[in-house]
Amino acid sequence: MSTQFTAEVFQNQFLPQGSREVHAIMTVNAGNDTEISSSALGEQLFGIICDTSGSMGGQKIRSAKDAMIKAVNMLPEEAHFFIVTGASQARLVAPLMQATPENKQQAIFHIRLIEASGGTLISTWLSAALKQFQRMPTAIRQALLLTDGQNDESDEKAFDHTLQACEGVFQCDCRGVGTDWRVAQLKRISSKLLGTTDIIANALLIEADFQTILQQAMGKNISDVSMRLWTPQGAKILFCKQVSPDIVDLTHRAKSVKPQVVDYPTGAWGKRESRDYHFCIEVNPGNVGDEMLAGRASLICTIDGTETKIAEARILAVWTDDDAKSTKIDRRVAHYTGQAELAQTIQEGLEARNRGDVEAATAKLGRAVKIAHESGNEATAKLLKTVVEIEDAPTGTVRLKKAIAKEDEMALETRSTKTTRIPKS
Amino acid sequence: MLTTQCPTCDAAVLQDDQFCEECGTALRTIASGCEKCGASPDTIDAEGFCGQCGFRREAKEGDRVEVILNSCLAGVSDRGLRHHQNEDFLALQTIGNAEILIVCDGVSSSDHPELAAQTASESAGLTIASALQAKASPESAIRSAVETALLGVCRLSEGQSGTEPPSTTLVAAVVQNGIVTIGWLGDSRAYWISDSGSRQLTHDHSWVNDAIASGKMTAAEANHAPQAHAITRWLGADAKEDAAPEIVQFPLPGAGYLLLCSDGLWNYAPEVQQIQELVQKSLGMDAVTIARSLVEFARSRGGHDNITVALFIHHSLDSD
Repeated sequence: MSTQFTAEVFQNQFLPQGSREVHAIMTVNAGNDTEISSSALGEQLFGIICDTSGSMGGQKIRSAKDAMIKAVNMLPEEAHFFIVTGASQARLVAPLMQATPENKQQAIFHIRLIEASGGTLISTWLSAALKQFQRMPTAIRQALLLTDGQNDESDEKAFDHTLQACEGVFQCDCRGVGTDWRVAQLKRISSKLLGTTDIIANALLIEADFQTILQQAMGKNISDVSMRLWTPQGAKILFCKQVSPDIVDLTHRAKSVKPQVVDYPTGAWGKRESRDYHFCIEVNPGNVGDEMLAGRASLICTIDGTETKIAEARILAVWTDDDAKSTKIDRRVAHYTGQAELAQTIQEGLEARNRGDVEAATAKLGRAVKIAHESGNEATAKLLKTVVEIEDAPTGTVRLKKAIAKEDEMALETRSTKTTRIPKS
Repeated sequence: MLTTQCPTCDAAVLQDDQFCEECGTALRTIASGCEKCGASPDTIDAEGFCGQCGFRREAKEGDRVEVILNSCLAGVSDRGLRHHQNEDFLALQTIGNAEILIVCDGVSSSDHPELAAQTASESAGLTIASALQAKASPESAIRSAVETALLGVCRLSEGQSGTEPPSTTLVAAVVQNGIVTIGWLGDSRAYWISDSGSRQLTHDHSWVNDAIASGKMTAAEANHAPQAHAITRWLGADAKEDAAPEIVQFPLPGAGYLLLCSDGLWNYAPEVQQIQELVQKSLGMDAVTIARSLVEFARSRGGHDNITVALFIHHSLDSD
């Protein structure tokens, strides 16, 4: 009955006298025979939110319409879906319905009629989607938002407010088509709504991307999973990050459950999914020889109305006067600390470059090349090559490229948080 | 000094007494909470971590205990390599012409198994000794010792709302006039080891044995069942009705070794022949040396459980 989740903690639990900071990496694996959902029926609801502002006109809107039609056709008959298009205001093109052949035909008929015109007020799109998702609160709820431009400045307040309201109600992956959209804006949505952001530089590739997202969404079978962390009295959680498959800082998403216990939302999980988390906890130091439970991390979900613990692992601290033990850094902790630095360094490097600070940009991006090389993060190394000429990767010796394609820079910016796992030894 | 009455025999006892000096009933109760922050005992988890401050209870002195009464009677109880604490206990005693050996293995799934094992062995040891001094037969001494031990173990959880009262196995042996009398509950074992024929003297009160005895399964099938090692009888407040020990008597046929042990040892040497070979490696050594070598053997194999061995070397009737 219960989903086969497993959790494992990797850490060096030995601390030198007086030390308070405990680091641990927790790997969570969802089993491959998971066939349950937190909802009794295992219902799935997939919502498409598509930008139809004037700038989408031409090839972009044609490709988007084709991609939506293909996606609707791909939906399994048991699933539910809806389609919202948005410009200065949202339009419910296909209200929430089951993906029966008749309903699909009806939706496709309306998709064909879509035309691009108007401005960009994303808050109205999100709020229309929110209303649909609220109708199936126990289903696995995933949205896909496609846009090509920037949100209107007048929407700032409403946007913030709506995003807040959407949090926890549905998850949302964001895709920016072309290069006129802003990475930070879409990342704000996807990070709040537990999704991903990526660039589709060429409109013709929208269809393939939609299919990947839909397939992933349909593979999810357990929703609203929380990471629950117990810490000792007087302890402080310095950070909690998802570090694989990409870096997502969860620290500020903590919701207090009771004293010493907080929950972090992790969204829906699919079969064979695997994620790593990095915890850093500051505890009251013990004496040499003392042993402490510095944290107990568990995955919690609601099954048949009951809050259920589906996996648990413990984070320990042991104080020792043996330097040989306490100075060792766990290799996974070291690896992910490096991956976090890699993502951070790339962001700083790109910012420096945009400021015109060539020296700082060269230093930062050079450092990034070195870390990517050392940690075997080939995907990021490849992206870095599009913005710098690499003279020597092991030392991080690079030269900034004079001309960089905007799409390459945006690809690096959006994908720099992707991490690699430590190679098995 | 405050005095109160022993719940078993009504003798006057002091408030701080751990045992009734008249009848051996254990008087202690679970009281200790967190030593670091003073949290109450129910905040301490099964591994000894405090649910409030996170600190773990100091490792106990009982991690390894060696009891050496003489060159022929000794025992070792060891935490092993995997468990956080030693939840086994042993008691040895000589009274006049009798030797008493007791091994207890606290049930890990119960609350404070280490206190259950310690209380049961100490209390049973004291009771057998005083019964034998009062000229009781070994069998009736063991029976009343188990009753007394049960009271002591039940008392541990008195007033506690825990769902798993402290529980333990128990095997007790009395050697007197060339006969060994053994009483037991659970899967702690007694063996007779001798060149002229070794044998296991107890049979485990375990799920696997029940399944085979009932004819529902073959030994091979039953041994593979996940619950194979679950014990079906024990000493604890949740099994009061079923706490009468099974008793066997065995006339010692000549020189040899009487060995009591917890499953931390026999899991690595399930056949009597294997135990015999291990003992024979230390031929001519004194009891504690042999006991140590058996414990070391279990540790070298992984030491997954606590390991306790009590050994009596029987030279022969004439030399007693």
